[in-house]
Amino acid sequence: MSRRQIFLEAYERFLREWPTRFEGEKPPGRYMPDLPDPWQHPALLELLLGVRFFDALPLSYLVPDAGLLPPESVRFFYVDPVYSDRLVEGVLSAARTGTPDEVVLGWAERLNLALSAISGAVYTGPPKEAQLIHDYVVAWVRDALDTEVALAMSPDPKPPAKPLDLYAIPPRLHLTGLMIRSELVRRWPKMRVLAYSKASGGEAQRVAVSRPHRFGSSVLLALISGVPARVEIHEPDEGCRFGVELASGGTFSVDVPVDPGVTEEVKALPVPLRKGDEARRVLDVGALAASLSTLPGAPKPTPQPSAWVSLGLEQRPYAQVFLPDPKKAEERELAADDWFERRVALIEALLGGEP
Amino acid sequence: MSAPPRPGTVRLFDALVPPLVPGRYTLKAQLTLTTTKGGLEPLALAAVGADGKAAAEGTIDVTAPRFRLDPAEIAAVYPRPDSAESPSNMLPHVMLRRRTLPWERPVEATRTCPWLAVLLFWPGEMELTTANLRSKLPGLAGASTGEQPGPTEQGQFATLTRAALRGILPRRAELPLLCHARRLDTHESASHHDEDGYVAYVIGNRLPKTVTAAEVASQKPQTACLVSLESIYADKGLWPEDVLQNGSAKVDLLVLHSWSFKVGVGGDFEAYWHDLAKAGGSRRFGEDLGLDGKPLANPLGQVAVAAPTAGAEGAPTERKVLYAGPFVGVPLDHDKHFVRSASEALTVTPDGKEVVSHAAAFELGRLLALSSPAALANLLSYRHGQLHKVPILPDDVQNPELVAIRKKLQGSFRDVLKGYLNGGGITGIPGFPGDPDPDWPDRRGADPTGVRHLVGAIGELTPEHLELGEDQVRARVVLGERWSEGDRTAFEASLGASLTLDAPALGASFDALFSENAALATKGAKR
Repeated sequence: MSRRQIFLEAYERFLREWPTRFEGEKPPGRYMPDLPDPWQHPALLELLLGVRFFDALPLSYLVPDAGLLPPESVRFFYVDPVYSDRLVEGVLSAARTGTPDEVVLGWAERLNLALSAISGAVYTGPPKEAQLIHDYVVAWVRDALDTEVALAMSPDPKPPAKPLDLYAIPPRLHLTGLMIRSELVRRWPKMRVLAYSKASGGEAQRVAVSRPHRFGSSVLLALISGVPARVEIHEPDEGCRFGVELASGGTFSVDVPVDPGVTEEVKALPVPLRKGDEARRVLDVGALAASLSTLPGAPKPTPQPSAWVSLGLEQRPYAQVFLPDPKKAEERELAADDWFERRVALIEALLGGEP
Repeated sequence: MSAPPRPGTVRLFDALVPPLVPGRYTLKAQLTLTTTKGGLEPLALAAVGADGKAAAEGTIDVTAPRFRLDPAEIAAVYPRPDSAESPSNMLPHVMLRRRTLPWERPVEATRTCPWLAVLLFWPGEMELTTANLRSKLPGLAGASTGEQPGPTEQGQFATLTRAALRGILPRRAELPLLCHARRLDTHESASHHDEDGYVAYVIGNRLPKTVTAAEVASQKPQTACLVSLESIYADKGLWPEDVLQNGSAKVDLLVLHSWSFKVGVGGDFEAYWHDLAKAGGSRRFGEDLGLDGKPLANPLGQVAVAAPTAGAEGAPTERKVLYAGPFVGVPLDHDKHFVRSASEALTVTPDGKEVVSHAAAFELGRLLALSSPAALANLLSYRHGQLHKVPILPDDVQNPELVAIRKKLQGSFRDVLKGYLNGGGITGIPGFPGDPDPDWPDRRGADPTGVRHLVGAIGELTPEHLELGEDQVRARVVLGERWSEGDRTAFEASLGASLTLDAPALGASFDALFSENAALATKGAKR
């Protein structure tokens, strides 16, 4: 049972007994902290979300050794939720003024304690780890920020179907994510990261991904809700483009739909350079059109229409797909069966050698 | 007009040839009105012609751009003008808002051959100049409006040798393959501010010149041009399929639109990913090896980092501690506990190594808040608001037991203070144990009143500490946190035995403490 649950249950009991003991008297209100308000406390909320999304942190705290994120690499990770919580606790601790806090908050908390005792309720007091009102505030903000983070990450942000139950205990958020250190980040700063709950992908399987954050010019961070089964990194859409792929041996090709509308199959067709003008990199468009006309889906009766050639040359935005290694995924599933033992094994492994 | 394509789809056309070619046309109209039921004669709506019938005749000019394009006709170009790192495997192209534009001027009888082409010139291949149109384009056909340039009208020309132009021109038969029209879906159409959704594309036939990594910075821009082929289409000794004549002679090509760009190395987005796979690759965080071939991090993602500290004699010493950032290669669970200081978050491995990950996180969060006066002011305001929400007994309680409790609680601030000063606690309220609280050993001995924070400067707390400029928000925080055990001892010594506390005033000070505008530092300095 969580600390908030214990507190709330005791308080509910106290309120239930109030009418019989103090008939006609108005009971004191129930204490439940608020979240920082976006209008009243914008800078605070921005900072809290900044630390939860890690974009307010120096990169060296995220990657303590540059070798963990070498040049031209992508690394997938789990977010340590305790680290996130400690960040938030640290932020909230900044306004603690030492002993004045202790006495004011302690006094207020004791008031609750006293009222509960008077009511005859079996009030065991708040759990040891949350003896002060400040602690409730910290705990509440820390947990409730999960909801804010989840909403901010939602791929389809819309208000919840029903108002948030302030007294419900929100499920804690588990995040994963990826970091890219590459020229890709500098050249395509608007690339999109999409994640899916199933390896097959599909819109219905999309999970929330944070807006990618760039550190400097070449490092990108994106957080993902839960553990994805498929991650796609999409080239930003720059409108229509026409071009060729660099094939093996310095030759060129285009990936063309074999029979558009019938099958999604694509075929790599070689695109020759015009004879005699190879050094000038002039494409032999006529030869490409002739190759295209051999495909089953080629329009008839005109075998080489320009629209068909444009389809052949059109370069759609590329998407790099990441799928889990089946073998490693199996290992992970096995490990998940006994989470505690896995942690013990890890700690034992840690003790076995120097980092 | 047919419905626009479904979102995400596009309709393609090989060519959209307008029914009329540019020129002067005579429009004749004839109107005959008759009555079938008698009555008045129909009104004479038009002049009566020679044959006695109502008729009208006029001349109209069907025009089409010839020497220049309205910039609004260009919906988009690729690569982006002045882009510094365009992929070298993409063809330049122009998207035109006027769907029929490439086919509006006939260069041959079938009219499906466009009069426009996109040519890509590598650095130094041509000279772009502005010159008189009449002098450069003599003998153009057509006498109607816009078909002939004015005597002083200027145009832009690409000048190069016939041999050089022949090397990059498409064949005549390829020209129709490099132009097509599309009808975009409404979304894409809106993004190009195109009203009817129809656009025409003119695609180049030549790839940009590649550069090496060493040449990237010093490369000169490449120029893509939308050119008119009217003046050269009929040239029998210029096109790639013809036998070249006068190869060294210069040719002037009318340029309707041009833009420049530079290329990057490494190809396109896809090529970069292929390169990445061969370089650093993709794996889980923490799995990388160091130069010595050993893992950089332990299985929990922790790396050994240096933590400089002062030794026993003040000399700097270095120790190694373990640190892991928030990103680790193994799933970790939440901790329902929380900490109030960084030291509480320190942990030690069974073999005595300090793990500072979470302590560092706490301290980092704290420092980030302290570094932002706005966030700090918000935080104080927020906490103040939260304290006011703590439930208290209503003012109008009647039950004698509650009245007694309320009375006791109203004086409890004073009682708290006195109780502390006397070393005792508050009695009389069940469940309100005396202080110091044996259940809160960490608070035993602490000054619960906070009075030492309010009464101001003492020994080590110099005026400089209190005068932190006008940043009073931060001053308050610094004041609160600066207090050490040494401060307390010195302060208690300075108080003496005759101190009398004004509890109500102190209570007001508490409020002031949490008020955004409190001048706590000033108060201290006055003392």
